[in-house]
Amino acid sequence: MTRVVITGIGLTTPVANNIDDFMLAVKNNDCGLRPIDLYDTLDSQVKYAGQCRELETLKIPNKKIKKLLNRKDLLNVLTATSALSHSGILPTNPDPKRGGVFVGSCSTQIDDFSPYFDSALDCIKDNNQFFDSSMFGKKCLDLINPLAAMKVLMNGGLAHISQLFNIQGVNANIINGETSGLEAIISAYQSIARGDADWCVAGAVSAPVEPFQMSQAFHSKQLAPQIHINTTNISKLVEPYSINSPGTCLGEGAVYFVLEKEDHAIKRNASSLGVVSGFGFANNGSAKLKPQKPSPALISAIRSSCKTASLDPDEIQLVGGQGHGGFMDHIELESLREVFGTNTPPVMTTTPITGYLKEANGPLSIAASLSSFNEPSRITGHQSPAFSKENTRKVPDVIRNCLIPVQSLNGSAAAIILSR
Amino acid sequence: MTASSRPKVCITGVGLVTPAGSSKSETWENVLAGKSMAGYIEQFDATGWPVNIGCEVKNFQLNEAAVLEEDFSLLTRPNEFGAQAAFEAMTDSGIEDHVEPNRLGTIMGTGIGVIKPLDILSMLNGLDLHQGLSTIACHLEKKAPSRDFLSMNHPSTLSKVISSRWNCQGLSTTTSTACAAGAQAIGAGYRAVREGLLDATIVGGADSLSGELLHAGFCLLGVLSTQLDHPETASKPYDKHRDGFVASEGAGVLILEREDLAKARGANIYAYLTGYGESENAFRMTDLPEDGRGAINAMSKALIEARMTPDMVTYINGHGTSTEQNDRVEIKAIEEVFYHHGAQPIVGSTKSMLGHGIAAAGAIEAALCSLSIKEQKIPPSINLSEPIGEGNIRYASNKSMSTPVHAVLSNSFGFGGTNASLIISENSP
Repeated sequence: MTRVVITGIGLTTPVANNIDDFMLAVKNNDCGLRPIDLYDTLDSQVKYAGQCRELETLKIPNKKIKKLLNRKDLLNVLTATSALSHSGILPTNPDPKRGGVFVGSCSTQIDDFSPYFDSALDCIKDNNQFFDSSMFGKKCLDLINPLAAMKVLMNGGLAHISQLFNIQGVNANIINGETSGLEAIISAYQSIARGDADWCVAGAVSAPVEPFQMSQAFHSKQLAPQIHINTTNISKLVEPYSINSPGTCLGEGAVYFVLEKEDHAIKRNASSLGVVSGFGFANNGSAKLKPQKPSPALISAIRSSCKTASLDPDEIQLVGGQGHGGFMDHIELESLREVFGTNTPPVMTTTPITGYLKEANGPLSIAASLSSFNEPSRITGHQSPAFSKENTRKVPDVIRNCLIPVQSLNGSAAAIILSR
Repeated sequence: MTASSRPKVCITGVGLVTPAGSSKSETWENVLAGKSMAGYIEQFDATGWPVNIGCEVKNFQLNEAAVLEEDFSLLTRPNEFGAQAAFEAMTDSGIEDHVEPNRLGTIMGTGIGVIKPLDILSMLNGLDLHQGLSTIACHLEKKAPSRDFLSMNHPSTLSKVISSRWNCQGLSTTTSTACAAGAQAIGAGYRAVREGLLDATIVGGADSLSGELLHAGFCLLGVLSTQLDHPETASKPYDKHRDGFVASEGAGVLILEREDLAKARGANIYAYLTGYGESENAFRMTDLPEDGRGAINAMSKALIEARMTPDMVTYINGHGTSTEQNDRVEIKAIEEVFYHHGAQPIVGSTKSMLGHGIAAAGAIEAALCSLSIKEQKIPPSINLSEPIGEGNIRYASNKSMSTPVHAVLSNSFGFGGTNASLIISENSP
């Protein structure tokens, strides 16, 4: 069986834009949640989120592509660029057809349709009850920049990354809620293991800091109340796995990896940061997620990942948890209990400092877990307090196998096991 | 699992909702008759638009058994098409009681949905929209949406609706690569069954042109045919006088199943999915590289996977959109992969009759290819009077052809550069 190693990490998060700074922020418990300034929150009850800062757009050399980037694709491109640079693979890549791109994407943001609406206001009639389609087609279309049409494509990130780095092989743009990121990485892994690619850049993006998605999260009661929050106590806004955690806080960001056939990596003297050793997928089918109950899909995905990795659950030493901060925590913890019983490994999450990165949350847990291979003590600050009170194992001196499980609200679940 | 020990993947169910009919049989009958489905758009008032023609699904009625009652609130037009096609395919296959739920998956290709100005307006009622969308957070929080607008329009909702209805507890996911999405979903499902992750999977794609914003986008990109006086002849793939595609809608769904299990339960096997290749142009968002490298790469990979030589392919159901560039580059790539190696497959495009169904297109065409194998008939490619190419291409005629059809290659090339080629065969090696 072809072994697939990870040779590069790129990340753009509210707290840091490279892996070393990110892990330092984890260690120092630096919080990246801040007042929202991507849109006007006047009179809004949702004023805080994890927003990425200092986005180095100068890193994008292609001016035409730069013009086409919406927020999600800017995060996609910058982060994939970082991962490729970190891995050092591009200068040594002789065959573009042997490289691949896999993107776990969030949906196009409604705000990307703004250019259409700006020109369509005169077509709105009868107190916002009627849209005059004919008038829109006759008089307004000419006012819209054609680039707007390209910005709303769901697969913009995939297209731009492929174009910028001339990657011509296998690819996919996967949109499946929270599991999108893990699915993209698993698809890349499968492509390499199958022999369809020598290497792939794979990861995910989440860009929910816009009015429609934030209001949807607000209405679905996922968000922690922010009324008493200010800049001095913001680090307490999200407390995943805590009995007192009242909900989550959304964050934006992207996380990408370079996955590579081990032989290929060895040939170019690249360092392996870890091995993808197991994976699993499942869905709840007609059963619904229930509060306080384990998810059959998540249990199945975790068990499948152990099986494909040929590992006993006891050999998992760390869980890079989803750490939603709200009702999903109970589902996650109950599912872990179902698999591990009283011998549950320590569970860590970085949600308190970045916000909940939804599609990119799984990949972010992978990044943090990979770092734990070298320095286990780095992650102990974010163990689950709820678990600490129970029969949870301690973080060992040497971590050999990490599990990253993710449950989507839509019923899908995925899990990955990383090994040293 | 070695390549030779991997299970063969067969197609045991087909479901279609297209402008040519809301079922497999109705669509197939009209396609074989060479009927163009293009006409003036009726779903919104397109009077005065630069392009006011399209291929629309008419007289569609969702079978209520296709969707769980609790999911009705998630139905948009493309989701209804997809759910209906999945219902037909699952019923056709008869697999429901013959597969373990955790061995059944769903993979669908979808697009940007049918976001309509009025859908958004219903949430913004009473707000002064001249303030711009960035100022509406407070309003959206105060006004609980009457329908879950974002969930309805999320690309993954169709997979969720189908996996809930059919209790699919295996991999359930969504690909979104524009015009390649449907074919890519089928390719992903093929891999999952071939590599033993699933025993069977519901795969396909769905899309709709009913939203003004999607149609506006195509108008802005200048990719639509402007031969508005005669809609029925506007889509003319591979013809010298083509000038763009005719937007369409619908859904195509296949049931892919392990051959041994299908045979054990006495299932009706339409055909085998034997090869899949995907690639990226790595060129531009909506343009193709003139050398056709992405298309060549995808077709070549599919042939290798199917362990076929080019001369073993009887018919190519091309991407054939009727745009100037796509058809020229695709024919060049077909010449390179097939004709320059002595093979002479018949080339045609069913988009000449059905228009371009975007995320649904590849799935609808794969379904038609399955029927082509089963019925041993090649569908017509209409409106083709002055063909492009080096003069050696054997194009499908404007009438259906009864002939031995051993293997069919179906191409789908998407905006953003993703290419997907599927090979559907009479037998599996």
